[in-house]
Amino acid sequence: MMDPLPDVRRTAGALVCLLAFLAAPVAAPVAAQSVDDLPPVTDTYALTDARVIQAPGQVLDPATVLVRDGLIEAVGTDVSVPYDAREIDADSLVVYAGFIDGLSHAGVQRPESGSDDEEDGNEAEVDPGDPPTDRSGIQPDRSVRSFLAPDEKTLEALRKIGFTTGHVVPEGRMLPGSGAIVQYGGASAGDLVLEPKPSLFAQIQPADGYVYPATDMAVIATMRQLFREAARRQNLQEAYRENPDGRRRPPRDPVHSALFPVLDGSLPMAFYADDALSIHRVLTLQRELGFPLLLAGLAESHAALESLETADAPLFLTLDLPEEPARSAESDTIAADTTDRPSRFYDPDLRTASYRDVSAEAENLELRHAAERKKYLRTAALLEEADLPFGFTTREADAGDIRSHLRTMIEEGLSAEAALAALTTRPASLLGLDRRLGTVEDGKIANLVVTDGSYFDEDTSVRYVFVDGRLYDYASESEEGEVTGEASAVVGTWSYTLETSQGDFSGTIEIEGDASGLSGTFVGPQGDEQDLQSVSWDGTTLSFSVDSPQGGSATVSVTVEGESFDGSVSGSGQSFSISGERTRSPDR
Amino acid sequence: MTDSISARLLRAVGGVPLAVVLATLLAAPATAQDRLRADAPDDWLIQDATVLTVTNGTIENGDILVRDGDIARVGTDLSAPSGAEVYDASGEYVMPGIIEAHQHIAISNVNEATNQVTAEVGVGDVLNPYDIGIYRALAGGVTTVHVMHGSANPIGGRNETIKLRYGVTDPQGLKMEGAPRTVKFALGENPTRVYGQGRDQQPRTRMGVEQVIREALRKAERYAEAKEAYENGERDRPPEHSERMEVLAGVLSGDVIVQCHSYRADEILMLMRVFEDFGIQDLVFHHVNEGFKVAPELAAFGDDGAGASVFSDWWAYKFEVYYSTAYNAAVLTENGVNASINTDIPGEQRDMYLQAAKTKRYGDLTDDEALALITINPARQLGIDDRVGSIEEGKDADLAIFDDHPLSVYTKPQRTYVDGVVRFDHEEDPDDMRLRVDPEGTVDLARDGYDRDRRKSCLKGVTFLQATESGLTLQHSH
Repeated sequence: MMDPLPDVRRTAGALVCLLAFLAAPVAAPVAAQSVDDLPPVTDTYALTDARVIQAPGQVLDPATVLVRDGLIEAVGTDVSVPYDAREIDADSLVVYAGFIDGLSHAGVQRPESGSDDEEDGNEAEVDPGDPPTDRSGIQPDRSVRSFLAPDEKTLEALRKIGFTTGHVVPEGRMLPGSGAIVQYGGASAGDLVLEPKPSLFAQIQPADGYVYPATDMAVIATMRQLFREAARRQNLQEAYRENPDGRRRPPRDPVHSALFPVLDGSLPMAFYADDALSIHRVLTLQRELGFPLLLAGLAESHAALESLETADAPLFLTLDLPEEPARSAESDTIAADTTDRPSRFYDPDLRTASYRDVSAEAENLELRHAAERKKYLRTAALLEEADLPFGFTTREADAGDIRSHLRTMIEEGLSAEAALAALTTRPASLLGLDRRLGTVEDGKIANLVVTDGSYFDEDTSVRYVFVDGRLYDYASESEEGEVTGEASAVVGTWSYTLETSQGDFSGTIEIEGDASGLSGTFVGPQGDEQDLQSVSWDGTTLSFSVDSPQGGSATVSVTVEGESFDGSVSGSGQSFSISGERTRSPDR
Repeated sequence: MTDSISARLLRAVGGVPLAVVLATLLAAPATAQDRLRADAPDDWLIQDATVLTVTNGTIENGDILVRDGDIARVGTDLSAPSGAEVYDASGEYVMPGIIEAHQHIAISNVNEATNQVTAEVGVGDVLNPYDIGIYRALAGGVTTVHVMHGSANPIGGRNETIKLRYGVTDPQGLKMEGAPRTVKFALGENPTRVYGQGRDQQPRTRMGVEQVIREALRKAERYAEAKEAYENGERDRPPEHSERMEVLAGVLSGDVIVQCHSYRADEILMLMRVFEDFGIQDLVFHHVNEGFKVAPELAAFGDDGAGASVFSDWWAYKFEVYYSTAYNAAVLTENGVNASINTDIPGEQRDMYLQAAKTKRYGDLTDDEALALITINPARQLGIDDRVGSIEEGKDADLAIFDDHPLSVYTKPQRTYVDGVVRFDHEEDPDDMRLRVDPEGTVDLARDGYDRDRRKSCLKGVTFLQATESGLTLQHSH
């Protein structure tokens, strides 16, 4: 700990150097290895022979999509591929419009916590009953733009599953600041911003720490106070502008001034409200103060449907779903949504006649929880049935769960067409972006998702994503390793030599496991180790990927012949040869 | 635990056979519409009951006709018009729905304990219609509750008078339309503990509490004057808007009734003097354990006297509550003070009729006087006595039906009507009356019951800095 250098040197040893070649910063668009050998000097791409879902229910198959200068230049069955285009053979692939996220914090870098000296220094001086506005969470004058970072990791996680644009809002408490329409990919923070100020973000969220407003009711009271005082100030300023003669200069501050466009009706308040009580409270406040509203979250909109039907607000449903609680194995067997005993349902009229029936009562209550959970899974379907146009928000969802949650929503009655609309055309129109985004049509921004099947099928993977015409290649990433070859042919220790432009590196690879799956370790020249991921072996080709400690990963693919292999390591548009020999095998 | 087992034993005797339970378990999924009472009728003829009107004596074999949620007729031998449901209440007792003047059920927040004066906040903004406490109150014949801000601040937030329309899930649906606005004040140890001891701020003493209240009211006077001056053209701009001062200006103008947490006789006299200085007439003291010492003064306050909402016989839970008596309600009543009995603590709202019955043992009140403590008297304290609090034609059909006289220890609530809708039915309601369960929760949560820690409800949400021999600790009251 005295001297951090040896530590750093060890972890930043040869393996890191090595992987640094292979895994350039993740967010940088990469050349598609499988397409051709051209360096990424062109920004023109042609996706040929693709099944193109232009909009929900509107299909061209097969068709070509031509991307140039960040725009979709042409879509059709007879589009010719220009000389400078990189052609991607999209036969058997499906092209969708890039998905639009109704509200998230993607790309927002959190300020470093703990280092803030005002936290320690001035804490004692803050009057809990009258703290400065930023301590209260009243920061409508901030903008999310100053917090955007293109290499922030949630951007990559969401882009990987097809999200290319989002309504991104700053983090904070009751009034964290104004949002922005953000492209989920780009070289700089400036690149990311498509629309600078679509909304003012708000939530019924008390202040951090024990200061005013410490409760929801005080947050609501503070909203009223801010709106009504802002209205007074706006009136004074207008009067002053018309005739300053003999008038005192009106008061002016950034907090109240930030609300003027909301009072004018030109800037919506984007509220996040998940539970039914919050939804009701926000709608009540809106009726009272009359601001334009955008509503996201809505996990319990099944319990507030009537109010939502009369609300004049774009709706964005959370892609998070409740999980089954962990229980003992025994009680798990009575969860109502298991299919093994479909005849058992919650009985709302049950009366327990005797204490001897407590187990029947407990089982019934257990079934109630399951039935209740079902309502959340069905909420998207319910909104569709109620004819309420809605998009989705990823804010509370783990990117890794989103696709399975979408499948659940569809299993529970949401039509696939409505699901796709909620990812593309609906949010585009609800956010006023429909002239630029939401469909695969010429003239639109080239935000595209290319998959190897229907997006809503479990087996489908996302192969390419375009953001602003930039290609992000996920084709080489397979989710899980597959072992079909005889495992003993590769299990053991292999020595390898990697030929790079900076010379040769050597080390070892350990592989263990059996037909049910292989795993192992990649050992660098100086003994540093990384786990192998997605190890696949089909009897001829062995492939796996290795994560770089700096982020990103390299894919290794070799052909095994007896006790030696030959192949390549690739990542981030570079590729090197690798060869090796087995030095230890299971039978030795 | 023993309670629920004995309850189940009781039901086992006359209850549903096990076979029936098992049969229904295998039935197809039913909807939970019963709990919401979405299309429940509000036209009823309640027949052949002993009707305890509270304000107009008792009617034997009495009938009550309910039309559109209101009491249309009270008498004998009434006939049911077409479309009205009939309930045979022979052998049973009907009293006006019980009114609880001081509770903290059905709200998400209790205290905004950061500032000495928080009149701008209101528990009406955070009503929680899912609270099972509403149903538990209904099961004790309660139909109207004054849900209150806590007592951490000398001037707390606005309270809300709600009707127990359990089943309505829009929070706005609980509010009693047209009920006067009220605001919480608090004297004595709670505010001095939170601010003086806890944060070394004013008020540390009862003198400080008076000072905080006087200063806030003076500010409100200036605010109201400035607004008026602007409206009359004597000022070129309105004063800076203040939600806080708007409410306190309402107190000064008589639009907002002050409901004040208090215990000791000296502080009760103090607030009456302060209010006389500011010309404020509408004042109800809560708890008022030393009210018996100043009953004549309370009765003489302002034009109509100050109200007093007391506990039946609870005391000695902190220093300022030692000098108390179970005769308090009776002494106040005998001295002409409009008195009511409240329970304050979520969980205790279920047996207010028994709390009222204690005044027969301690003070020899008549049945009507005892029942008035939980019906018409709290209605007057809340300014809603034109709508509820007695069985009279034209009033809301808020009715509680008992199988025995409600002041008997053997009585059991049978049915509770709110606006003519049955919201509690001892015979028909299933065991599980929760409107909402946590989708990620487990059954343990379903057994979540009355928690003794909630006894600190008046200071719920307050963080204390507690000085002990081992140093300072932070204690948060949930």
